[in-house]
Amino acid sequence: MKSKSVRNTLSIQKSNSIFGFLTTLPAMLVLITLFIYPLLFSLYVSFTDYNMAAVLGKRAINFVGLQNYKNVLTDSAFWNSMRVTLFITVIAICVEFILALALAVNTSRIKKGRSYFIAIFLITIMMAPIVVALLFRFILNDELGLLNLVLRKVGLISADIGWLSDERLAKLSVIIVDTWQATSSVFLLLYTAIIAIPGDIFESADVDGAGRWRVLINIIIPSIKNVIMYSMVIRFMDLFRIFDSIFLLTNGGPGNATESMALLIFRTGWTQMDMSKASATSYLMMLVMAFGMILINRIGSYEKNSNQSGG
Amino acid sequence: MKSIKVFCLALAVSFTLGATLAGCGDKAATAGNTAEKSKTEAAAETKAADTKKEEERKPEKVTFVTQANDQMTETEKQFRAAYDADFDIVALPASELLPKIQLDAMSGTNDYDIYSTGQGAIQFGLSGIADELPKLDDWEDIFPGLRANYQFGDKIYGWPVQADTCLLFYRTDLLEKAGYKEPPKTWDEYREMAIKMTTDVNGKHPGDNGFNANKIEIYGSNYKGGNFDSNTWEFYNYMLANGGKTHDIDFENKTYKITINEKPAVDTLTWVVDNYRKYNIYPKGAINSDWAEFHTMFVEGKVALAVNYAYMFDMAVADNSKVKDKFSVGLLPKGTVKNGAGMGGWVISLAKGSKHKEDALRFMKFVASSKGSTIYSDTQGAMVPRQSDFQKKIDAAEGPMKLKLQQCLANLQNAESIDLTKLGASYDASVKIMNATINTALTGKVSPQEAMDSAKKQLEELLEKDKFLK
Amino acid sequence: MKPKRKLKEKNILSYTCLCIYAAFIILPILWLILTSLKDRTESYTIARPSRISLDNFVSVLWEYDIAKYFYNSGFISVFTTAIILILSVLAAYGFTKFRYGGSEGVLNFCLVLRMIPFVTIIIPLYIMMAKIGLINTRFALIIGNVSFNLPVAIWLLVPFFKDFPNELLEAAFIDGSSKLKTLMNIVIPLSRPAIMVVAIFMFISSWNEFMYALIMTTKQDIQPLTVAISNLTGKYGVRFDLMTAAAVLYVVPVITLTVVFQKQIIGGLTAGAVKG
Repeated sequence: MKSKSVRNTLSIQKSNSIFGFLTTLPAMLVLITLFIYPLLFSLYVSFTDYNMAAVLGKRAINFVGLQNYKNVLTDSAFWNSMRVTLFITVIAICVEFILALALAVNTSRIKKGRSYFIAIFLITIMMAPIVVALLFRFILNDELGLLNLVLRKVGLISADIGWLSDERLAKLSVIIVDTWQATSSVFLLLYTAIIAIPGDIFESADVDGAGRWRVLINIIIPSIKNVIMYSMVIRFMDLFRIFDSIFLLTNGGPGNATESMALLIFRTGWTQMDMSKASATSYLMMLVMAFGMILINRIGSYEKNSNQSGG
Repeated sequence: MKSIKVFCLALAVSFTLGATLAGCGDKAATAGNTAEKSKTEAAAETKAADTKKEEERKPEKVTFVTQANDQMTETEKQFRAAYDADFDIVALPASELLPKIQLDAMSGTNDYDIYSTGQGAIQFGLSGIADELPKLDDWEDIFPGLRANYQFGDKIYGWPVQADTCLLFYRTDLLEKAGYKEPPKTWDEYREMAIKMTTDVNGKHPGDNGFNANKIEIYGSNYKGGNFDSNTWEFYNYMLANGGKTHDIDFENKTYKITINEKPAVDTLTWVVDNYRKYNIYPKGAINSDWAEFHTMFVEGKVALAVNYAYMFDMAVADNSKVKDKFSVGLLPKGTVKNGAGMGGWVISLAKGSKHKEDALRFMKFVASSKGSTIYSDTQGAMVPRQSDFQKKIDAAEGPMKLKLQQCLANLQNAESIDLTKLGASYDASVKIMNATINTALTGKVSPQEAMDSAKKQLEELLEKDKFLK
Repeated sequence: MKPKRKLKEKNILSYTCLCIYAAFIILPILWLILTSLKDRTESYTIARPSRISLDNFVSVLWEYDIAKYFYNSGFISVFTTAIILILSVLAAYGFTKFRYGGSEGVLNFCLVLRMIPFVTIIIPLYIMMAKIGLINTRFALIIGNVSFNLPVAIWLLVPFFKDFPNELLEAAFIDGSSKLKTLMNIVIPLSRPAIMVVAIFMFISSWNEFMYALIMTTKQDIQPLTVAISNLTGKYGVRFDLMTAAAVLYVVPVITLTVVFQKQIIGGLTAGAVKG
């Protein structure tokens, strides 16, 4: 709405859009030069029988139409990985955003020691994912792990819990590890947005005697909704492609309980060097992700509309 | 809403663009191939010209790619001291080694001259990225199982630089406590003894009244059951003893048959799964364990019997080991057929696309020679590949090391090649299929027979796709 | 008096929440530090180390020459961050304040690039880089990191720039300031918190990047720290003792930077109050 008023005042719409195009051009050029070939190549490959054996054997690459897509869609491994990925993504997003919001609100409330807490929270995102996954693999080990030892000492459990050896708990463990590492980045985004909310809004709320929950729901969340939405999209994309931590934590096991889609693609494309099937799986995965993003977008815009009609 | 529409449009456009470009791709690929071909021909010509000047020419620097490990710096240092020309050692993490070598060859980058891998030789040879090698002068001196690891039919695709095999590790104190004088001789005995030695907090064993499977203090045995390569490498020790095979290859008619779902293999898997699920002689965490969890459990004194590579010996005799002086090693027990053992080891192969093959071959000859391979195995903490060198080592050793080497020799003489390596281009992927198969069977969701049937199907699909023997 | 006490109660609750979470973060890290002081045999056990030694640090620092990799990582991350900041600030400014036909679509297309699983593009990317001869160059690492992270940077900046009051821009334009000058003199200084956050994220994500660097390099001289850490393995399993020591060294510079530049970072984060 507001950008329209800018245009009207300046009434040089055309020069504005040229300027807009020019500013976005460098970024788009970098992205396109690097990505366009790999992207189109993998798309092309997904319609052929391209694989390592064919390339090294100097065999002709045949066009197979939608065969790869059909193979993937009839493969139970694909549907299993879809379920696993969706489960991990949805739960982890919820946990991470609730936690991050709580942390951001509380950090913005306190006066002393703020920076120390932020510094502590920042450590987790600075750690290499390889190290984090290995660290947790041993913390979560049922016989040798720290977690079971602590729980036993405290008296919360009597028998060891198989954090990584039980099929259901293994998924949960993946979520715990991801939460440990990624919540801080969400926190940082939300915190930055919260402190940018002008103080007078809070003051007027204090005068009104609004409770803490009402402040959170009526003032904070609506003010930072944009940031929540955008960071949720980014977290959604990263979680949907979750790979590093699972690769080292369980490598998809026990059985296929934690075999995420990215892991499946890694196996087909990198270990088996079956590029055509891996590419087909990736494009299907991207379609699902696009659908998920549209969903997030729609929830966001729905709230926007209802807010507007409410106000 | 508008943004979503535009976004979908962008997706659709990229799809159609890709589909139209699909046609052009073929031409470009063939053009690339011919260009490369002429390039290699030109290179061969210049090389021929170069050979004349061989005497005056200084050997070029060759690149040796291998798996990263903690002792590689030492290996490199000693190689430099013993070899007269320059070389580069590139070390990669285990999981990336084989794919990256393939990528290097496939893209025509050809940065690597020598591939040093565990079992990649036949894979490279059959997929056409490594050259066939001549016989080394003292080829017959190398352990037969180790030679077989890198030969396909009568073609040699790699020279072994170290040998390795599994040992039976057993706790002498626990055996004595359970009333046994000797380590198990058959795998049935092994299970029986493991059950007797699996002890819960109340001192009860599996099968006893009131045995608590959730509170076990000592486990009779352990297994590397995670979805990692160590799983398959352990499993084949048991399977070979029962006469199990992955496949039958008919070299003359170029046909093959997958036999992984036949009785010996299925029985072996049933044995492993029962040990875990029915008899509780493996820890619960075995289903996710890899090398590190496995050897830590043993060194921590929580396991009575274990099958592992010889490296664990050195850890178990270390000062801070809890089982120091409480364990010994021996021959792997006998299965229904024989004392099977899988042959590990390490091999070097020559890259087909190498830009300086003669120099590479010269360096390879040095590494695979008695002197070079002794440096390699000593610094890497493994065993020498030649039988005569091995005997010398035993004669020179004393104390626990002598025992270790003697038992290693006994197992090495039984050791045979793990036949997945013979699957050529599909080797690495076939190991991954087996890892997942065994890991899934351990969850108890599918029966061993179903698991192996599915493995057979997956292997057949894989070989079909990779055009095995065609 | 009453409101003050209320505030205090609120604070106690806040502190408790934050402390619990901080403990959740710190405990594994303490564990990591403890592990780095143990030797190989004990590195996976819960027992206290039988003796505490700095051997792991010594071998990581001297035998593995970790300093070289620090330099490489730092070089790559700094340049990546700088390039990304320039490109993304410009782009976000254009995307939010000077829309053109299809600019929304272009913005969303950025995101599509972020959705591709890495494995799918790495092989063609490698072939492409090999053809141009960029394998084993710092440039390839930087340009790769820029491209992987640029979409995120733009997406992070867009909501902040969107909320940037147009009145301020209009006022500047009326004063005769050019569009670029307005960006430099008004938008960037006032959006410092957001840009700061993006800079932190971009730095960290290129500092942590692993797979791409692993595949695009073979020479140790230009490999970043993550690749070096992943090489700290034994033939039979990872060398957790060495890896943890390297990991401790790995976070130390970043923590030091955070502490030293705390004022700037935190100041940058709190310099908000843009919205009128």
